[in-house]
Amino acid sequence: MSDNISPAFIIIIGAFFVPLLKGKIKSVYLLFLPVLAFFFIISWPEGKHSVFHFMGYELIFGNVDRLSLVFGYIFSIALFIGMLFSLNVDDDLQHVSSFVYAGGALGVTFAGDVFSLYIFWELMAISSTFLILARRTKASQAAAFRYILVHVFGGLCLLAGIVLHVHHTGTTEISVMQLKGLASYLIFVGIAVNAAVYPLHPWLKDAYPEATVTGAVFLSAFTTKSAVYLMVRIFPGAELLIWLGAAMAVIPIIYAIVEDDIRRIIAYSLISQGGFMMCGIGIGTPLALNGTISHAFCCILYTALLFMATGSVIQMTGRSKCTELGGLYKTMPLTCIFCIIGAASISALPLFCGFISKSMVISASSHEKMPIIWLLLQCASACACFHAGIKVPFFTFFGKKPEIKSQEPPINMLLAMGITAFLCILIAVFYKSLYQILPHPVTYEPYTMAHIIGQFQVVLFGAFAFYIVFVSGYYPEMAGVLLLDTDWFYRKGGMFFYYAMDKMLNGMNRMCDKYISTKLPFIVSRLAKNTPAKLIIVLITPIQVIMGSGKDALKATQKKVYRTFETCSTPIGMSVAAASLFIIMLFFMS
Amino acid sequence: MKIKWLGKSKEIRRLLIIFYSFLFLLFFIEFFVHKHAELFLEGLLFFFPIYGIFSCILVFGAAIIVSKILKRNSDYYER
Repeated sequence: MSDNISPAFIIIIGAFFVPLLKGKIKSVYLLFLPVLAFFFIISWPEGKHSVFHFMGYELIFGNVDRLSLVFGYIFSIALFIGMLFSLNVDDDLQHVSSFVYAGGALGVTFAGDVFSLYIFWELMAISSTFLILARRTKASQAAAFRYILVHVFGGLCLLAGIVLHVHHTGTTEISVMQLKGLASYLIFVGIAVNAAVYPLHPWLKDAYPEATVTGAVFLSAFTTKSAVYLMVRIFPGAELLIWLGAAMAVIPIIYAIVEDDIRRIIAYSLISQGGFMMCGIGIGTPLALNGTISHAFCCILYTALLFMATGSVIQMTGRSKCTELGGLYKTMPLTCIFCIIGAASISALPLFCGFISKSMVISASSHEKMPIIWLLLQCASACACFHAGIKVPFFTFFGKKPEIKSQEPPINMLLAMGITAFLCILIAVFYKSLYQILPHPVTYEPYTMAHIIGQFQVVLFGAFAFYIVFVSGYYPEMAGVLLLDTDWFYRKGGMFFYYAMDKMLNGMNRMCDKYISTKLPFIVSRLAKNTPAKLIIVLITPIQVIMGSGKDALKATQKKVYRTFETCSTPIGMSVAAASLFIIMLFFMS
Repeated sequence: MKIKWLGKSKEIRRLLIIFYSFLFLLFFIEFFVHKHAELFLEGLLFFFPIYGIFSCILVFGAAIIVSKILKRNSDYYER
């Protein structure tokens, strides 16, 4: 295989052949592309490949090191799983968008310079929007519009930061940056938008639940995780991320408790899991960075599994609300088992993949003697169990609802969920295989008795608290409820801006129309028409009075003068007299 | 909000008994576990179970308060 062919190009170019294929060949092709990309990645030696010269700059499409390889592996695995899950979908728009989107994520991962990074970054934003639009509902269109606007904002911040960075340093290479100066902050904000860092996160819970059933699986894997990758590469040890990450880990839980939509609950959980990663990046030690990377790896698997399980429920029942679902364990037993495995993984229970990665980040905070961060992460870990680990499977599969007609999803969807669930357990058991591919050497041992017991205690006693709140009747109302989030500022702010602009600009327009377009010409024309006539009348009336004309004669003369000026049939002498009088008036007035 | 679920069938009662037994076991197994505490809190006896319950109830409390302040109808943004 040629070292100069980037797997990103294989996927992106390959995407455009999808509409040309049909039937089983198409299915095979859809699965073949991710496998091909995966083999390209594992055969890529470390170093710089796919280097092109453009306008005096080097475009590097293949910056291969241990960090980019880990993300390359998991992105191609996620693409394979997502494609298997969506094999039964007869919509080329979704397939092409998914491939371009995944290709963009691989492009970002292996980009060695800021320009090629930016190209793939924007490609991801555009292609992922189609996965939301493809649901073809009014709500999805509105969500997609907001999604692309937020990502355009993030992309512009990134671009501005890149331009300033290149201008200041003269290099286009992607390297570690300190959060110092405008360029670094702009790049930081640009990446933070995609990573859904608090308070820039609400686009995620807004858009993902409105995406197609299969689209949400891809969305959960690529956007936030490619941003995590870039944060690890550019801002390791940025202290700001520790506190932002802790807020990001805890605050979404409050929303997830009250949320009714099963995919929105998972979206909030996804943001919370991102908080662990941001904390790890902020701590910046080899243990913390390894924890972040392995957690991103595992998080892609279990959130994809949870999105697949909840997506299957939505597809088979047409319902997405906790309060409308229940009892599906009878009709969808396999989906139920896969959902529980995803739930156990996100809860970081031992023998499920979340445990071997999340505990690394938490341990890194205790290693660095950060008790408040450690407490917040432990709290987020305990709560993840009840909002994503228990709430979703409980309400969906075990809640008491009248019989809902449903059945297991198609075999390809079950197979995709089965493979992902298997990987969630496999990685937890053979965790050393994952640890071996991490960028820094790993000495961390997750399966110590103290770790296992401590994790079980936090999670299961948290679950016990959840049960107590359940049976006591204090659980907050969920049906038909929306909790305001930071998107209020741009959603209501946008509406307020529109209203203000409407009132101000359209008001000015109406005023100008009323006074300048309508009234002013009328006044000017009346003035132009009547002034000479009035001047003549002022001149004639005293003469007529002296000559003894009566009132009727005066009125008749005035009428005649007005008519003469209206019809522009004034004798020259009269016009001259009026003009002279006008000039005399002006002379005295001046 | 009153939660309806599968009810108090035999299976559920059995599951709850298993769950409580496991909690009981987890609570007292702590005496036999050697901890490598890096933070003072980690080394405290019964810290994890107490913190598990406490933190979850705290977050629930926060959710109840926040939902009272920030709760709107689901069509809030469409109006």
